Amino acid sequence: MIEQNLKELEERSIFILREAHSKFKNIAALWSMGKDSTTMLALARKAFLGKVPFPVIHIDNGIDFPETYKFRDELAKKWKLNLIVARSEIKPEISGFSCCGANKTEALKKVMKQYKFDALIVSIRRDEHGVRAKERVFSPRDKNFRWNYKDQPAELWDDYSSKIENEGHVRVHPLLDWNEIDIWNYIKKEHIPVNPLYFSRNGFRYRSLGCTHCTVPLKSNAKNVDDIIKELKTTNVEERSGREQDKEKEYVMQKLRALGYM
Amino acid sequence: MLVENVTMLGHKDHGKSTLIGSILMLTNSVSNTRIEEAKKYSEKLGKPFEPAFILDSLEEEREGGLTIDSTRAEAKYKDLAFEFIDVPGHEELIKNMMSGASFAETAILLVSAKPGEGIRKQTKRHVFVAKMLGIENLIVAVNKMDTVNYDENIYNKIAESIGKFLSNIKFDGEVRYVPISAYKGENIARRSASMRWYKGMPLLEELYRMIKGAGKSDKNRFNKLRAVVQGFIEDNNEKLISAKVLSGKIEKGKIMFFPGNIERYAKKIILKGRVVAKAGEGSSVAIEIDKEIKNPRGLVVAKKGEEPIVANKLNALIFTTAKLTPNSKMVLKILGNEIKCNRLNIKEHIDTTTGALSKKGLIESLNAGILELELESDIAFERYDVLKSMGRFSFYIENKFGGVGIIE
Amino acid sequence: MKNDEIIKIADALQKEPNETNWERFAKALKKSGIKYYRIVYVSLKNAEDLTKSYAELFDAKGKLVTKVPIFKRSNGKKIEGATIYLKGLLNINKW
Repeated sequence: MIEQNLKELEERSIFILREAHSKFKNIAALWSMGKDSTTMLALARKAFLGKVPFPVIHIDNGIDFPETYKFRDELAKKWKLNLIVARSEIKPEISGFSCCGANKTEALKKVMKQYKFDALIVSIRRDEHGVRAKERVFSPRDKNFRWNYKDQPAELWDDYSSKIENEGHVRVHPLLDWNEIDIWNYIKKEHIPVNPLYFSRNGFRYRSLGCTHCTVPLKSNAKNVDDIIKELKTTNVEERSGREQDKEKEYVMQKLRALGYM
Repeated sequence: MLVENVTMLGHKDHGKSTLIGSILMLTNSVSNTRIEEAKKYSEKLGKPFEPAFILDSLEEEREGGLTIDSTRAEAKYKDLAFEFIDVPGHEELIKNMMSGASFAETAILLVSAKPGEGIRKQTKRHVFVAKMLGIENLIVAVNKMDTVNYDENIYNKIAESIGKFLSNIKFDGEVRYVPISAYKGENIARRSASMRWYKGMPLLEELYRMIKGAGKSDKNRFNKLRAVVQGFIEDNNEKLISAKVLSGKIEKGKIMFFPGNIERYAKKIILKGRVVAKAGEGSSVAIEIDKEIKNPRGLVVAKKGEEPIVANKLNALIFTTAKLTPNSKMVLKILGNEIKCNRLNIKEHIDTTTGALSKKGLIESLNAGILELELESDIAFERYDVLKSMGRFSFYIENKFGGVGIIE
Repeated sequence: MKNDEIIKIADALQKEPNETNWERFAKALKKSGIKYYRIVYVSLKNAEDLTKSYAELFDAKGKLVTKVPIFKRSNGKKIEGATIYLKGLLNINKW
């Protein structure tokens, strides 16, 4: 994994966050209490003089890790976040990835509609997954949350598209150029608070966080950020191999995206 | 580590995805999981394993052989890190290509030596647009040499032809030529035993040397203050101006906003939460000014006596994906501003496959031209060769993406 | 004994995982000696499966104290996740 220049990455992300803040009337951000979305909030604080000037949405399916709930409530208090918890239902017919997918999408649709958000900050990175490698910094969704991946708006230089088609909304991806190791380097540099599940206490830790029913820990003795960085520099296991849903075919995920699942 | 962006240009069938996949494998830059996934998939399709499968992640691509969008892949070579931006070659997807090409200064142009393939219109168009968008270092990789028995004459012919085109379009950056076989991984990381007649270095080494030797001193000799306003940031009921510094340095003191010649005093400059004395190129700052400005987004900040060009008329070299006539309703997107074009005067038509100029009075799609534009209002800008970030724009025709332009 | 109360409530939760019992549980948890949890889950094929998952609770020495469900049933009908009530405990899952 290639470590990039943190200063440049930070500058670009701050620029993107400020652009989104200026261009959209009613913007919100998704927060999963994971390392990426928490880093995004830290970047927002840098961009907006110590504050996060937009609501932060947690799509909660009720079976997240207890540590995640604790981390959420404590950081929301500390950083004075405008936290919206949107409960997603666990419905009768679900299976495998749908559990965390389709139902979360419904909950998200509901909250987007309720608050009339016109843009949503999502902290995905290009290096995470094949399909996501195709995403743009500003990515439009139509009103059914569909992503027409064949007809993406051209993105030139710093001029990001904000054309909102069909009453939909625009997804903003400020962390697209960051690698997993860049995130950890930045967390270390800025002392960003991190969900304790990332650290090992019993020979296992979580490299990527989903909910309790679809995330599997990996063998590791990394107890702190420095250990994690060291581990990343020597490992060759893809990040998401701890998450059930990624074991499904990649194209299924792509179809899910097209249907609105984040 | 500095990551060097490298754009891959060329026709869709000429092997760009294969080359990147090959480079990833040869530099050990791809995880075993990815390789396994790609191998499994090729088995399912009953096709022999192809390095390109490593990149192609969209289902349609694997089965149709097309790269739809810009994909990025990282590879380490010696002390450099490359990010290869693979762009599609298909004509209808050229707008995606421009999105991909716009972040790199270095490009690899892939041309196939295979009989029946060779230099295509698409190949030339890519080079034209790449030059327009600021590519300064170009490696011409003549691919599929294994299909022509590594024939030196064929290689030379292709290299000469490209060279001629490059001089026709007045490309003045650095060019190097390398014969390769991406499929076989030949002459990419190591010299090929089948091409001993080739006296240069393998592809990655040529790329490495070219980038290392590139005159980075060229980077922004223009050092006047230029910053573009993004909008407001609230801080305890005060509105600060958020802006990005494109060149020079911003510091406390008198500043001007253009267009409009608005004079203000910058009381405080805040960078990433801290008050600073000054901030340079690339910084996203918050400026506390003495008196509020109503709609500052898109305004350019400069020092008095060092003003940018402010006008509602400009000359531009454009590349268009749609046919352009004097009646086309153009909207420019420049520095966060959207400006309507009242009048379009087409001075020259440039054929992007030959570089030839003509006075057609219109611009055919996928070609270029020199235009004189009359805008609905003044904008602040610089010429492209003076400050790239303030001299380029994209344009839309009736809400659809039209093309790119650079201000002359 | 220290954990008598929480064990009683855990039993009540097994029978009736409603909001009242969960609130009682969360309160009692703070006073108990429970420190760790391990989620034992099945692969979710439908909402009912959620009732098959449960959490094992351990004390500071790693000894199993009791078990609780990980769902909440309000108004007798709707099933909701309830892992939030385990806030403050640390995970020791190995799989």
